[in-house]
Amino acid sequence: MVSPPLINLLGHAAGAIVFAIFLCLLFSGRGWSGGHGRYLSGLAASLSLLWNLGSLIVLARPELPAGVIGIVIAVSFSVLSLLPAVLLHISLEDRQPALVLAGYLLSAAAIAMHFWEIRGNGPALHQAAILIVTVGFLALAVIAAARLALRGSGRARMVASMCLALFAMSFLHFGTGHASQAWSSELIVHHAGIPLALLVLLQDYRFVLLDAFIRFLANALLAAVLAWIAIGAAVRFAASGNISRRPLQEALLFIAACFFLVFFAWLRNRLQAWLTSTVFRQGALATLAARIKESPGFADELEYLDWAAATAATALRTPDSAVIADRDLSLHAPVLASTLRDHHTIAEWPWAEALVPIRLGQGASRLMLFGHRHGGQRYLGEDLDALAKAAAEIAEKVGSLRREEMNRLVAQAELVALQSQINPHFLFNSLNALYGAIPRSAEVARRMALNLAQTFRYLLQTGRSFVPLCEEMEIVRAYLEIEQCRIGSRLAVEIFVDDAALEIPIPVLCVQPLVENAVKHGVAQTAGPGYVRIRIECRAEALRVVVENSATAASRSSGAGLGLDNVRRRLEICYGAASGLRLSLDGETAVAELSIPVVKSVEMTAR
Amino acid sequence: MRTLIVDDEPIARQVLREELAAFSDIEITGEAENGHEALAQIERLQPELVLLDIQMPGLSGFDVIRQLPAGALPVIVIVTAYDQHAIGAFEAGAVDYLLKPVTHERLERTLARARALRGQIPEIAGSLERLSDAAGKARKVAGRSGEEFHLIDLDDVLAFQADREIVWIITAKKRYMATHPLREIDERLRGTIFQRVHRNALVNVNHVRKMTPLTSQRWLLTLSGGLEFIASKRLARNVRQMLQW
Repeated sequence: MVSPPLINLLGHAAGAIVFAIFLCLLFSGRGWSGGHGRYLSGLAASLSLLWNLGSLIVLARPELPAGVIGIVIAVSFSVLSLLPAVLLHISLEDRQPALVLAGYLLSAAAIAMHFWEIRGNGPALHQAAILIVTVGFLALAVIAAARLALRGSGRARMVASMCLALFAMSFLHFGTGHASQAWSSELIVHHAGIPLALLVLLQDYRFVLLDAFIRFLANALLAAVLAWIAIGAAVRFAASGNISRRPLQEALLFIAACFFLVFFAWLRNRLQAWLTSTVFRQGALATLAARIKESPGFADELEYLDWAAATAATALRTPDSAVIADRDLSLHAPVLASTLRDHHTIAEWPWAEALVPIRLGQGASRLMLFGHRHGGQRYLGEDLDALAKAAAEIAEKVGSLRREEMNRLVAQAELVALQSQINPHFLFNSLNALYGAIPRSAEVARRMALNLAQTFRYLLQTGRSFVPLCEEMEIVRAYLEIEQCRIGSRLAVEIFVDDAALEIPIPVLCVQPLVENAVKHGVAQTAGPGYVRIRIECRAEALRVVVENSATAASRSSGAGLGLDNVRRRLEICYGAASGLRLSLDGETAVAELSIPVVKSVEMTAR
Repeated sequence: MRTLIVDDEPIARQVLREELAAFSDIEITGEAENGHEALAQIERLQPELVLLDIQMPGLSGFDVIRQLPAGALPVIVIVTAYDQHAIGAFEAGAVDYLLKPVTHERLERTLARARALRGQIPEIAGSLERLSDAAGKARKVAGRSGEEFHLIDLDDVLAFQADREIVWIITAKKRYMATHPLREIDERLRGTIFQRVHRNALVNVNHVRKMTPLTSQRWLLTLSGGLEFIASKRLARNVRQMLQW
């Protein structure tokens, strides 16, 4: 029942289907993960497809006119002769242009001979052409492999070259052209070309969906084997002669067919599960997102990110991982480093093989880098999917860590910690009593009591992390009045606030610490007079707060305080890189400059 | 205006007395140093204005409001040291809310408000009912402007607009800060004249003056006073249905 023509037909049909799918994946944009070499791979796959189609025509329609058959044979063998040159080009990747050129010249010579066959003297020319291709590419592949070995290039490329050599050897049997007669022993060699060519094509794992491709092949193979068994059984059953159209038999046959399909589905699932666990070794990654979700408690964002990266690295079985700031890549999903080969991030982190963006909102994002995996395992589409899921969990967790940190920072800035120790009713009632005890003539003292009450009320408030600028400025004014009361006329104060800025929301207590800092360093430490100048302008996209103070030798040497770190960190959490706090020294003036992005709400324009 | 001062601290009463002395129409008819005394004085003296401390031994300021004798309906102004009770004070029926130490300017505004309300005691009196109509729908909303809290009639509100964590209550004259997140306000005002037109905005449909389609999916809503909002088609349709356009 198994005849060589049947095997040939099935083999070429399978080859045609495999390469057609390869081409679809390649140009669908879904499976492709890189730019380089796409067209070469496409060309190689197209050539393989053409070769298989040509062979199919010759095998299936031998009754066609001899001229047509001759042309088809010439075309399909030309295609086959060109294929090793393209595969050599792919496996060398512009590394040894001389070898690549030699390959194309060999192919050109063989193609010329194949077309010459049509004009007569077929077999001899055909033999010669096949021999040229076989010996020539065998030599080229060995030279390429030797050179690669000498330079210590990657193992994958060596394997590719050896495959190419085997591929070239498989040409030997084509001596007599397309034969529909029995080749028996040569059949295996004949169809070895397909998987070998595939191996060369896939050597760089250019497909994110390589795993999907392999899964598809496995499914197709399983279906073919089962179909073969079923057809065999059916034929034997028919041959046994006891076929009749009795309802019972029909019913039994129907049930058997159903069971067979169910069995196929079950077997397919088992096969896929086996592929996942054994071939792709994905086990630890599948549960990565869940494990990252159930992280132990972390107080610090960076600590958590390091832990998450280490956990993912363990699951991926790579020793190398890092968390860096994503400055200009703005990735949306995990990618392979090979797809970004010219980017400077890759240049800085040469060991990185996979990049996973952690998108944190406010435009800021971080990158997790992962290195070479244990045992040369590749990053497959499924792995990247699992990493994307984990990245989403990480981003969410970082978001909640940031909210917690924000609350903590606001609490720090607002003295809420003190609030649990001071009874606010006691404080404000006491200030009120003090206010009442001061004679009405002591205007300055009464103002001082009012300002103190106002300032403490602002510092002890809870539950607000944003306030309109005007509220913050009232407290800045009250605070400066208190300081002027303490320091006296030595402190000169100038305040300018753009009217348009008054209602813009700002993080609570982000201007007052700057002013406090300016007073502390600019004036309080010196004997002479000093000044604090506050200027707040509303620009197109940002609120600009500039606090200047007179600088002295003493203030220049002292660093910025904890209060400013708190402000800086809160700005970073609220606005990402769009905001910032800059301290500088301009001659005799120390400048603290703060910029807060303003989102002009499109919804509302009061005329 | 006959005024009663209620505070357990003598010096706090003295501060108020001294500040009130600057206003010629204020006649301080009495002082009370606890809740029971306050209730007795209110019944006996029938004051038009009560300046009421919250934290007092025995009956608190809230208890005093709850137990006001029938028929005695003075204008209540809460005077407190710490502003954690602001919303509760309004809900209990106070018309204003002062923080100690009270400044002259702030007191002046409060007295102006009290004078304006003096003639309409029955309307401003009562407790929770005052904030809601018979069907339990809200009629007023508390808004904050700096350190001052105000009670704003919902009919005067053009829109609620969220900007980061701040929710603005926009009226024709002024903007106030709401005391609750927009989501909670939306829930509380569901089924009233307020309609969500955007993730960040609730508008009073009675103040919508014009609706112009911008694109197939977006409408421009113009409110009285020239305030403009962009609404999605779906939300704009809700507004149209409410207005039966």
